[in-house]
Amino acid sequence: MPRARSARFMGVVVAMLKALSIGGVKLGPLIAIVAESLLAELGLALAGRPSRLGFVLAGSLAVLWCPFHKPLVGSILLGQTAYKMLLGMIGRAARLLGLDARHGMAIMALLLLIHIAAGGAAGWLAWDLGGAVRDRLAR
Amino acid sequence: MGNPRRTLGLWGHLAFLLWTLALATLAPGAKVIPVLGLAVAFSALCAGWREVRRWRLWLFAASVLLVTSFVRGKDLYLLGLWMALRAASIALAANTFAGTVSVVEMARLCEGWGLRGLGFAVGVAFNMLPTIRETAEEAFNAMRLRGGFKCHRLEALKMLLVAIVAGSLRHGDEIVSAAEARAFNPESGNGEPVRPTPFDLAFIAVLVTVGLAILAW
Repeated sequence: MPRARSARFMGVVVAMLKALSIGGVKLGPLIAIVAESLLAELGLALAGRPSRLGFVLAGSLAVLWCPFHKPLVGSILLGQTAYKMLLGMIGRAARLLGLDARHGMAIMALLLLIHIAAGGAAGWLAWDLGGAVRDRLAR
Repeated sequence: MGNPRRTLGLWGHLAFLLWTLALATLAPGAKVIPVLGLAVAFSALCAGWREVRRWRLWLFAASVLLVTSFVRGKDLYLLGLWMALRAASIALAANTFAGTVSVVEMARLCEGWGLRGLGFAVGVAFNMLPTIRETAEEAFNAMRLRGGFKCHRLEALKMLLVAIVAGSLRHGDEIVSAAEARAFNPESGNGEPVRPTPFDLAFIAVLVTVGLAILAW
């Protein structure tokens, strides 16, 4: 993506295609698509010029939105009360199962690491794919 | 009073969506009831009763109420009710916006925010969907008939992706070249940027006044 703001532009186009699709307009997926494209744009901007590192960073940041999507959209739709109720329910479930709260933090950290690794791998492959497509089109 | 849909422009509809989002978030407790009432009235005026009659919207609100009723605590049932009404307000306002504002108008609005050529890009992308499917099928069948997936499957998959993307980009490039040959410049935008009408501005002023009145109540 040699032009700046390409990732953001692609995200908006995909969001509009989603709105035109059979499922119709669903707030959640539209917010996710635009948010992930903005995070990818941020990753590319932080890297400066198009590079493999930039793509890996963009992929990691974009996929990192996934675990936060539901709680964030839920807190917008249902308010902070829902978030506090959810934390209360998780705490009660942990006490019932005899789990330590620190285990929950470790599980969350592992989940985030898995998402970052998956996004980074996708960015790595996207860099190779983009180069191969550019070579094919140049022939 | 005429059809508000014809009188109210894109900015008026966008303002109402943002207003509902802000008020549903800021208005505590029972103050969300007038917000929902106004959202229902606005939806009925702009889109008939089509959006208000969607049973999935009310089922979602009812499910929120049902779930919170299982959480112990004397005030939590009321909190659940406000949560359900808030979710219903926001969802109804968003559905009404999506049902009354066309994708073309949204593309024009986004073009005014710096995304030049968005309308053309969405049109090309939408029309490319059957082409991409056809390209993918042809590339897959060609590789399969040549034994491409018997060994080195990862390499074969990479080549398949390259073939699909390159074929689609070539086709898209041809469409753009055809448009430019007809003196069409995708980056020149789709007409004038969408500006708020006087009715939109008056509507926004009314929304702000009513919003402040609800919060101060």
